Amino acid sequence: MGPLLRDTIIGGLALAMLALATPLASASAGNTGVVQADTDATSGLTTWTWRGEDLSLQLAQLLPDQTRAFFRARGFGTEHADRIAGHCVFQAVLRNHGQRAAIEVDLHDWRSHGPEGNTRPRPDRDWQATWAQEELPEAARIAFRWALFPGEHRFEPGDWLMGMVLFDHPPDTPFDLTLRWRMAGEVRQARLPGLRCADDQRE
Amino acid sequence: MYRIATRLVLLAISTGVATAGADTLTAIEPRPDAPPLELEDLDGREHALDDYHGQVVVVNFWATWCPPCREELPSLQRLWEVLGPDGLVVLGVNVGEDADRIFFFTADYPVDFPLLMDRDATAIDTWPVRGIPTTFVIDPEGRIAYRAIGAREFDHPAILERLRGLQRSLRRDAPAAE
Repeated sequence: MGPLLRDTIIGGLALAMLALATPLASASAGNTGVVQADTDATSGLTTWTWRGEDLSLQLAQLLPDQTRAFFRARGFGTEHADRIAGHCVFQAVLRNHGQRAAIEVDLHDWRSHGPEGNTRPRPDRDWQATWAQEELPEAARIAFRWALFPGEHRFEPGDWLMGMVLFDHPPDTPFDLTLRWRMAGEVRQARLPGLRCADDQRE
Repeated sequence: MYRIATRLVLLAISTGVATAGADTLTAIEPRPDAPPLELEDLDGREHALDDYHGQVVVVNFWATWCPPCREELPSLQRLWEVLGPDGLVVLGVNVGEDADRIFFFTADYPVDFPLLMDRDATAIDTWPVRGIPTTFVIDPEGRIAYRAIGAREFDHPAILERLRGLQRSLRRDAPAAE
C-alpha cells in the first residue's frame, strides 16, 4: 500500500470517528441559508459550511504552513511561498446543488468585511502578471493557476469545484463574507458572518 | 501531522459534497466541435483526439494534487473497464506535471487508460475549462456532447446509461453491412 493511500485511509478513519464524536460547534442563520462551523478536534482548524437554496459553499481554514508547503512542493521559492502564505487562505468548495438553473460566480463581486475595512478575494488573475515579471518557473505558475478557485465560473446543476481562495487579511483575522452570484438573470447575495483566518501560531 | 490534518479537511469537504449530483452530466446543445488534442502519454506515445473519431471519448482534465481529481479517478478506471470493451475511450489529461510525478502517483491510483501530459498547459487553454477536474464526453462525430465540472462517479448507472446511449446512436447511424 502506498503512503498516499495509507494516509488517506488513516485520514478517512479519523474523520469518521470525529464525525461521530464531535458535536457541531455552532450554527447561525444568514440572510438566506444557514452557516455551520465545524472545528476539527485533531487539527483545530474550522470549516464553515453555508447552504442556500441552490448554492452551497464550504470554506476550510488552511494554516500558513500548509499553504507554504503546498506551493514549495510545486516550484515556488521560499520568498514567494511566504508571500502567498501571508494571506488568509481557505480551501473552498462551491456547488450548484439545485436542479433549476446555472449559477454564475465572479469572485471580484465578493466582499470580506474585516477590522481594517472591506476587501475582495484575490483570484489568480491578480497574481499572474507578478509571477511572470518575477520569472517564476512555468510549472509553478501553472500549479498556482489551477490550485486557486477560478475567478469566474458558471456552474450548471450538479457542478462543483474545489480551490483555494485568498483574502488580504493577516492570520487570525475575523471577518464576514458577502457572497454574490447570478442565477436566472438575477443577482443574489448572502452574508456569512463570523469567519476567521487560520492562526499562524498553531502547531 | 499537517499532511493528515489537511487530508481530514479535504476529506470532510469532498465527502460532504461529492455524494449529491454524482450522476449528473450537463448536455451541451448544440454540440460544438471538440478542440484539437494532441499529447503524449507516459510512454511517449502520441494520442490525437482525431484518432478516435467514430468512438465515444471521455476527456478528463486533472492533476495529482487535486483532491476531487483523485476522488473520481477510480471511477474513471471502472468506466473504462465496463465500456472500454465496447469501444469507449478514456483519456486523462494531466495539467502541468512531469512524467515522474504522474508515474509515482499511479502507484497509489493505478489506471489502465492513457494518461496524457499537458506539461505547459497549452492544450487545456484551448478547451473551455476554468477549473479542474473538468470532464468532457465527445460523441463519435467529434463533438462535445456532455460536460461535468467537479468530481463524478463515472460508473454510476445514470452516467453509464447516457454513455451507452451515445454508443447506441453510433451503431444506429452506421450503414448496414452489405
